[in-house]
Amino acid sequence: MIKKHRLPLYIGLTFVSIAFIMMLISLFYTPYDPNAIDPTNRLASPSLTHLFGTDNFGRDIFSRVMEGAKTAFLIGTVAASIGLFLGFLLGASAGYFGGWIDELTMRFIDAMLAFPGILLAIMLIAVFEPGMKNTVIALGIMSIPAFARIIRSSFIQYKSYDFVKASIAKGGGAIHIMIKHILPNAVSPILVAASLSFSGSILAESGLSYLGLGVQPPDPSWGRMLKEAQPYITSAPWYVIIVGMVITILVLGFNLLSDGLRDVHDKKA
Amino acid sequence: MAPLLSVQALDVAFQLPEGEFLALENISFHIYPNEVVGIVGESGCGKSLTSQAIMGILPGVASIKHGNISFQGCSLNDLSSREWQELRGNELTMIFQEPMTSLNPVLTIGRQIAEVLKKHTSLSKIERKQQVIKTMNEVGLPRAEALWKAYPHQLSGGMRQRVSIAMALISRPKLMIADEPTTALDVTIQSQILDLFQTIKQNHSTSLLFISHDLGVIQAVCDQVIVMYAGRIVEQGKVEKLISEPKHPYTQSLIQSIPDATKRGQRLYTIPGTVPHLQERQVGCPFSNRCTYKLKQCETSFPDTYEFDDGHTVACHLFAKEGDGN
Amino acid sequence: MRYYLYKFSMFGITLVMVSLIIFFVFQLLPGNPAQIILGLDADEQQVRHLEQELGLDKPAIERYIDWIAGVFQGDLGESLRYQLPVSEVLADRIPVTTSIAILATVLTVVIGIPLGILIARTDGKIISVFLSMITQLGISIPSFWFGFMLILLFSVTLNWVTSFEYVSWSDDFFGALRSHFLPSLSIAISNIAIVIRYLRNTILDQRKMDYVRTATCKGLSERAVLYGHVLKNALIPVITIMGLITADTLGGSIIIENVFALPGLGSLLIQSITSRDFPLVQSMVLYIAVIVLVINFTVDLLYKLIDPRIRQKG
Repeated sequence: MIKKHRLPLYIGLTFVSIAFIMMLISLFYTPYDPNAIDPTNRLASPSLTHLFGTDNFGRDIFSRVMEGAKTAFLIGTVAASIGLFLGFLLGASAGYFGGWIDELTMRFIDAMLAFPGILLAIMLIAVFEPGMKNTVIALGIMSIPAFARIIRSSFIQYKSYDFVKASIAKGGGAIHIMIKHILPNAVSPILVAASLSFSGSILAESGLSYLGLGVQPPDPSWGRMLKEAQPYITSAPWYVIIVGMVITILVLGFNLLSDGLRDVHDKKA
Repeated sequence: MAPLLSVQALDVAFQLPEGEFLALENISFHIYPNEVVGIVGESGCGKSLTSQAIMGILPGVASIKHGNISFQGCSLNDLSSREWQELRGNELTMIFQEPMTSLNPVLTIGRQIAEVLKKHTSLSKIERKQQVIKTMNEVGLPRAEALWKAYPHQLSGGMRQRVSIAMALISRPKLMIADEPTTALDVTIQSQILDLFQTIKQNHSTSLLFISHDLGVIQAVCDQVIVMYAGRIVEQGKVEKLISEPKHPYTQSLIQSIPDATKRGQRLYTIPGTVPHLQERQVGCPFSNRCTYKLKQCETSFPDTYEFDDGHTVACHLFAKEGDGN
Repeated sequence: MRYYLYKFSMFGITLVMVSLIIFFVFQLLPGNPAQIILGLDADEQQVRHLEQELGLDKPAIERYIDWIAGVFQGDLGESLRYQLPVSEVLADRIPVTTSIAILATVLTVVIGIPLGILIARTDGKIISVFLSMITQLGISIPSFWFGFMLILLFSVTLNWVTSFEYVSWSDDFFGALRSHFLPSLSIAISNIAIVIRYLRNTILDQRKMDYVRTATCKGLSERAVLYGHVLKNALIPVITIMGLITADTLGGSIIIENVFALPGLGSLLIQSITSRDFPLVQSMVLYIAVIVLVINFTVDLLYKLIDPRIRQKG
């Protein structure tokens, strides 16, 4: 087999790392106070003093983008963790036990997938009120099916392997076998799914926040910045363009990362 | 009589990350009209590669380095892709080993056979169908009308192979190449397909290049045999002669490993060792490390080809001092 | 036949699960729903009246059964905000969203499939990597932001489109096509990228198959092999993802309708959430989810009909 290109993996890593470093720096330092209003300097175009320009309240967009990275990573991490935890419970029991448990779980997953795009999250937020916490929970629940499916198929695959059969024959308990023997072998596909869940959650959060159903002020959010920028699309196009590009780059980074991880995994297999 | 196909001093090389390797070396043979020629050898000897070189379908990493293949007197080496399309499926056809995968799963049997006529003749749709049904009957496919609309997965392996044969036969080719056409089949089906090749041989003026790892199968259908080992021709000659008086030690081992009634109850002979991989081939005779008659020079130089009566040739150092080395 | 029976019963179970999920989630409305709907300044009598009207005084199972029975009779309840039956409110909105979804699916097929085929013909390593990244970009762009970019391009830079007002099909066909085009394209962009990636991979996989060699040995040109043999095999799996893609356009429509101010289900959904019109939200969510299930079920059956290997087993 000819060596596969690692370029997408490296570009993905670079994009994600840049955003991650920006987020880390924003914990200690931003060029301006992200919430400092300057009515004399509204919608200033990008310059050396304001790298990304200023918004309709004269706030520094670069500083606000840095702040927004915190929300993006927080949402990505927590949503992926919730999705992984619940997806693992569903997928592992479906794959391990099979039979009607599997059948019923899969129908439940099908039912969750019947809510297209961010509809499931919208429904949950409609009932539980918008805000950071509920957005994260809703996006976590939304990412359950992807994790559950991948973990289920790993379990079905590894269940038939000799080392697992041997462990069952020795009388190992179900949970012991799952965690000790099957889980370590499913790590790579889970990493791929986690990376995809990150990009999906960031994209979904920007959509929800744009609709006003996601993160609420004063929490920073790139999606809400786009909502605020929309009325000025003709007078200050850079505002819309820059914020959207930042979202795209981070989402692309995670997508390339998961693609690259999958290639590395496929080659090992 | 002029040969239908001549292969002259053909070298085919593989371009691998580790470098370039000759997979076929100095291959020369002729096929005359109406002749059935067999190529025999273990897997990895370059039999299929030889047939792919003739059909012009070498895999991307392989290419002809030296030598010439000519068909009906004209060289195939620098045919344009349009000229190849005219030739393939028309005067030069091929049957493959795997009847399970060599047919398109989503097209009907009738359409797949008729496609050959559509490409190479100006027959009308109805005439094409008549011709297809006739050929299907000829190759022993029952209920041709019903099979016309069937899909490959509905047929047994033997029937699928008959479909492949019908596809290769329908254009009345000058030369048919069959690459291990019976290997993937059950023993009983195998002998039925071999019978079909016998019938084709009698009823058609088609030459056949028949490739198999099984000398018994070759014996059943061929006039002339070529024995290949590690990308080289080690022996060739008339089939009766080659089987009754094998010269090359490799041919002798192949004959020993044919199962037959007189050896009943005995353990079947298997040649010790394996064919060296492309990257592991060294100077000298590639068979030397498995050969019981190994001489000193076998490790240092590949033997010349020595000729006997009736065009029987062998490439082995044992025959260097003219005559019998055994 | 048994296969179809199985598929139908699975479809039924999934439908029930979807309705249960929706019902359950709306049961979780914190506090007294009637109070929330009416606001804190409503008096007790009003609240009790609304509770009775909504059937909130009955047990949950009875309410679920009432709800589903109503749905089957075409009664989706009453919108609080519009004071109209939900089905009537939806009737105006459905054609808009349906048009967007259909147009987006058409764009996906018309742009994605030819590009996927074209791109499959290039199999150089560097080009492959480059194309893969371009299509990943298409998947990564937020659709509503892509909508903004289209607005910028067509109205500001090119000055081709002066207004983004909604035009209905019955008023002016071409005007309607124009007003639906950019929203549909915004939704379609990521699906186009998905179709290109998927189709290219299936074509490259199919090209390695033995039947391709057989076809070549019949004397067919590379083109004839691609269009006559490979494509049929490669498009069959694409049909399965078309179901998912069509469903996804409905989800995409929710956001895009808000960008382009289209009076469809998506904009209604967000308005209803803001005005706490829960019966309307609940019915709309159910409506969209059921449509998605029906689309996927249909595509699933269609797939079996198209693939001869499965068709004959059935």
